[in-house]
This record gives sequence, C-alpha cells and structure tokens, in this order.
Amino acid sequence: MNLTELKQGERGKILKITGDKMLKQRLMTMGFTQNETVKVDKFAPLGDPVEYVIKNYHISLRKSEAKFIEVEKVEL
Amino acid sequence: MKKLKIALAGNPNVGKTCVFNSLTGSNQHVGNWPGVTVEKKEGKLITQNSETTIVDLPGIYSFSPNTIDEKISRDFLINENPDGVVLIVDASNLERNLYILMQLLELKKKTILVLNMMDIVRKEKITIDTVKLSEILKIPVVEACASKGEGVDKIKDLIEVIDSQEVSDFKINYGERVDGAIEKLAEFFQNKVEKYDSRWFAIKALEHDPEVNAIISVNSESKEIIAEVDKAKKEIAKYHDEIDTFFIEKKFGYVSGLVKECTHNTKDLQLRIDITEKIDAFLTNRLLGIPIFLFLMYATFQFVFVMGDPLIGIIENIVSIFASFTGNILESIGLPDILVSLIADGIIEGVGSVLSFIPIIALLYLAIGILEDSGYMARAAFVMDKIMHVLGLHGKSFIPMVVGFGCTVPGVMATRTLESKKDRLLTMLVLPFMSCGARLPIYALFTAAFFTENSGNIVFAMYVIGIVVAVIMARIFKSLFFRSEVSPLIMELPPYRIPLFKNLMWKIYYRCSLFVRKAGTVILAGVVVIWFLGTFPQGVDVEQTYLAQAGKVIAPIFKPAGFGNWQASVALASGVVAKEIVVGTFGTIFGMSEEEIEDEESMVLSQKLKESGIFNKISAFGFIVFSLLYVPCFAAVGAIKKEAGWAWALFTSFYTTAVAWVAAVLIYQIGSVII
Repeated sequence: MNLTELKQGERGKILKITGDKMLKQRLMTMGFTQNETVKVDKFAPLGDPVEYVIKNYHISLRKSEAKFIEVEKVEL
Repeated sequence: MKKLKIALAGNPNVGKTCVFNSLTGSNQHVGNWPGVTVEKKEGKLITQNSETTIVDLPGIYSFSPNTIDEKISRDFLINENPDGVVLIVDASNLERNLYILMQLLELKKKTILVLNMMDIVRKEKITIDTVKLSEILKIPVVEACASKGEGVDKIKDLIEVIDSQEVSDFKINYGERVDGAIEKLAEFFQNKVEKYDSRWFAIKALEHDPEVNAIISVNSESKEIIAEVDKAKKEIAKYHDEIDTFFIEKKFGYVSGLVKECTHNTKDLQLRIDITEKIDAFLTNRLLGIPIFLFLMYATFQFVFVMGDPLIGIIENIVSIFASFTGNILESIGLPDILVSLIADGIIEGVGSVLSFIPIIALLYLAIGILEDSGYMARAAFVMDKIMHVLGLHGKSFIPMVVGFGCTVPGVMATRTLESKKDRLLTMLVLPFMSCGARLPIYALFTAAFFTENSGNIVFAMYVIGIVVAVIMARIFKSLFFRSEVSPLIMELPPYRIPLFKNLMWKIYYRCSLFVRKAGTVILAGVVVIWFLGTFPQGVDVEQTYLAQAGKVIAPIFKPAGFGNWQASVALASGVVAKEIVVGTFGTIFGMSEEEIEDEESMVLSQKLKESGIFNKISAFGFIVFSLLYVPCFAAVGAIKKEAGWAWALFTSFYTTAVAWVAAVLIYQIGSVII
C-alpha cells in the first residue's frame, strides 16, 4: 500500500520510494528513508495536502507526492 | 589583518538568521546570487586580527542540487571555496538536521557545528554529549541559543582560527565492498578533477548526480570515465540494488546511530503533547482552518492599510509642505520658474510619491515577518494549497494576492515567500489584477457621475472582475509557460515560535531600504518624464501640452471602447505613473483647482465629467474596467523589475494593457448592442 491509503492517526513503515529520481531524492533527504515510521497526523481542510510526522518533526505532502511512498501499516 | 570567508549553512527554521545577525551586527549587505533572484546576504565580522566575510546560504535540507537553493549553496561551497562553514542545526531535532552535516563532511569542508536552540533541548530534558559528538566527527561543536546570545562569542572565536583548523578526516563507512569501489574510483579521479575532492566526486558519480554527470560528459576522457564509473556501479550493484538512494539511506542510518550514541532522552517524545499541536488543533482544523486563515488575512490587510493610511497622509503632507517651501526659496533666489517647477513639482513630489509607500511596506513586512517567523505561513500554505492549486497557483500565492488588494508593490515583494521561481513569476504576472487601493478614487468618481443608484455593486464588481481575470490568466500562463512544472509541496511545518523583535526590525529595515533604492529610481524617472510632458511647451493651455498631444495620438486606440477622446487618454496615460493621479488629471483637464477637486468629494468633478459628454454609461463602465486591468503604476512595474527583471516587467505592462483593452472593447461593443 502507499502512504495515501493510511487513515488519520495511523502509522506506516516505509518500504520503498518510487517515482522519478528528483522527487525520490527530495523525499529521502527530508527523512523519508527505508524502515522509518511515518504517522498520518492530519488532513488539510479540503483533504489535501496531508500532514505527516516523521523523524520527530511535522511535514506536509500533497497526495500526488505521498502516493510514491510505499508503506506497510504498523499496528500500535 | 587576515581575511577570511565563511559560509553559514543550515536547515530552514533553525535560527540561522538570528546567528547571522548576532555575528555581523549592522555590517550587512543584501544582493542577489548571480543569475537568480534568490537573495544573497553577506555580512562582516571584524575582530582584533581578522576580517571575516560571512555569506548566509539559503536555508536548505541537503546539498543535492534538486532545488535552486540547494544548487546555489553547493555551487558556492565548490566554486568559491570558503575557508570554512558554520553549520547551524536545531539541537532538538538532530535526526533530520545532521544529514546535511554528513554531506558537508563528505565535501571536505572545514566545519563548525552549532547546536542551536539548546534551551528547548534542556527544557525537554534531553542531554547531548557534545564532547563525544565532537570527538567522533572531529570538528568543533558549540552549544548555543542564539536568540539569547548564548554561544555567539564561542562561534566568533572558532571562526577567527578556522584557517588553522584541520579538515576532518571523518568518513561514513559504506561497507567494505562499497568503500573499496569508491576508493578505487576516487583514485582514478585523482588529478582529473581539480576543484573537487576526488572521493566526493566518485560518490556523486555513482549517485548519478546530474551536475557531476554534466562535468564528466564534457571531459576529454569522458568515455573512459563513464566506463570506469559503470564498472564500479556494477560492482556495487551485486550487493545493493538501488545505488542512487543507497548513499542517502546510509547517511541517515549513520546519523540515527550517532544521535542514539550521543544523546540521552528521559522523556518519551511520542507522548509529548506540545504547544504547537495544541495551536494546530485550531489553526489547521478541518472546519476552522480556512475561516481562521481568511480572518487572519483580513486582519493583516486591515492592520497594514488602516494603520498605514494616516502615515501615508502625514508623509504626503510633509512632502508637499517641503516642496512648496523649497519652491518659494528657489523662487526668491531668482531661479527660473521652469527649474523651480522641475525641482519642486517634479523631483521632490516624485521622491515623495516613493516615500509615501514606505509606511505600508514597513507595516506589511512587520505583518509578514510575524506570520513567517511564528510558523503560521507554512500552515497558511497547508490550508490553502488545494484551492490555489486548482486555480493554477501555489498555496503560498495567497498572501501576495491578498496584499495586492491594498497595493500591488508590497504584493510583488511578498512573492518572495514562494520558493519556486515559476510560482513567483506566475503570481507576479496576475497580481496587478487585484484591485489596489489607489484605483478606488477612480471608481468613486465614475460611480458618482454615472452609477449613483448602484455604486456599491459597481465597486464590488471591480474586485470580482479582477479576481476572475487573474484566475483566467494564471491558467493560461500556466499552460503556456510553465506547463511541465509542478512544484511539489514538500514543506516542513515548523514548531510555533514567538518572533524575535530584533529579526523583525532587520527585515523591515532591509525591505524598505531596498525598495527606496531600486524601485525608487524607476518611479522618480517616470514622474520626471510625465512632469516634462505635462509642462512643455511652456505657458500653453492644457490641451496643447505634449501630454495632451500624446493623448490625441493614442485616443483613436480607445475608439472601439467608446472613450476615444484625448481627455480619457491623458488621464489613463498619467495613471501609468500612479493610479492616484487619474482623478486629479480629469480635474486639471476640466480646469478645476486642486481644492475644488478634493474638497467636495468629487461632486463638482463628477458633475463636470457627466456634463462633458465624453462618456456614456457603457463606456464609463468600460473605462473603470480598463483602469482596473491595465498596466500597474510605475512603482509596481519597478517592483516587478526588481524581482524578475526588465523583460517580465515590460511583459506585464504590455499584456495587462492588452487584456484591459480587450475587456473595455468587449464591454462597449456588447453593451451597446444590448442596451
């Protein structure tokens, strides 16, 4: 599954980032690396973009960017 | 006295500006990086036996050239080869912040690591073993809290001796086999790449770095090099499948281990409910987020223009008193009338019209500064991105557009908050359609003359027409010029912080002085030209001046719009300087004194305008729509020129006028058929 499929409050472990190289590198340098846990913190009022928590900080991504992040749901 | 050059680097929102201000004090200079509109801040740190130039690099998360800021920063480190780098990191978030340090050390730059915001770290009961960190990385590490001045002296001391600091030989262990392949390739690159560290170059070549690839492709031995790189890649590919992300993963992995080793955390961070999250429960709330945003924009707008208006009035009064005072003195010493008029009416009033923008610019930057430094700006983009995206703009375009309702000039300057050049340009191009305050007197005059029954609706319609045209043009430009580019919204939502008064004051001071210097020259030149045209030939009737003659020449252009007379043309031509002048020009044309124009709230003027018969209802409506849409004033063109260059400034002037003409013609032609 990809990151956009997680619901608010859920967490996922990053498996892999697909998409073009530039986007992939940008996401990775912001901390979206393999095995890292991402939490879906909040959806913007119109449902997009989405606020995530990774490496203990908050970041927003559009769904069109988040869909390239493959995750595995982590049960709490 | 030795001369040093230091680069200041770090992630955004880590207090870098504060460190920069503490180090350089008032010794600052703002310019542009060559070829781009990204701001370059430089300052000087002068101590007893050294003079250090400190260059503030843009706030970045990495030195990979994926964004313009990252590219500028890396090029600076490589091409200008500074004596060292001071890296500022947010000590409360080392996991992300130290990634860039790994890149810096790989570039083999002398580095001083500043752990800023130690106050937060201490409050959260996290301990950082800086001694150990320094020993492992083999670089000096300073604990700091720049907002309170802590650590600044220590940084100054370290900068002073950076020329004798050793380059850290710290290396990330990429695993025996990969390291072997890197070393072999690095050896091959030795003596082939002068400016670059060969190991760094080798790693970048393996990573498919676009710029390193470009350098290789123009090398005379590019074939052999590519073959060698491919060989090393194949070797590594046996153990790791994704080579271009392998190095990033490894660096983050290393940082993670380093942070575990050097910090001790007594609190569970996942359980921490901090102030930021409490505030965000309201500000980015699904229901309240947009209303709160709209309210804050409205409040900003009110704050800037309600507080600014009286100040503008004061400045204008002072200027006109000064102008007539100087005029009298010059007259009394026997200067020819024409020179007196040039100095008093042309130059002093011209400079005055520039100065009168300062209160709103200062207040605007205070407001933007607070929104930015507090962390709200990122939330505004978060909340609005979807709507703006549909309109073809970026989430952050909203702020300049709202500001544009007051005045286009600060609106253009506010586009700086957008990171991508494309978004900045696009916003700037449609910004003039936001009906600014200076156009209101025109609407007031015309509604009083022609639309007394529904004046409110007409004025409201102007705002709506402006927005609609802006949206349409944004869509058109997007598909014409910027089709392939979608700038992502990978944006940190930083913790809320109380803005530092000192930083805000610096920001205001810079913006105002930049505005006066750059845009001021354009406005001044324009005012002098219009003064010249309106004054010569000397002593003739208004109708005979060069301005009126020019008006007669352009008048036929407006014939299809129904106002092809020289009066309207002259009024519009003078409006190119500033929209405020349009009403006054009509007054002059109808031979009224300044008191008559101002005192009776345009009633005399509107009466004369109606009786003159140069407009009917339809062409009057067309005229105000034209006034709304056509070339923004000199000040706005000057601001666009400063932000985007002459080409875009001229383009904006011409295309907005073309749009205005088409709109006015359509209104007159269609309107005449219907009514």
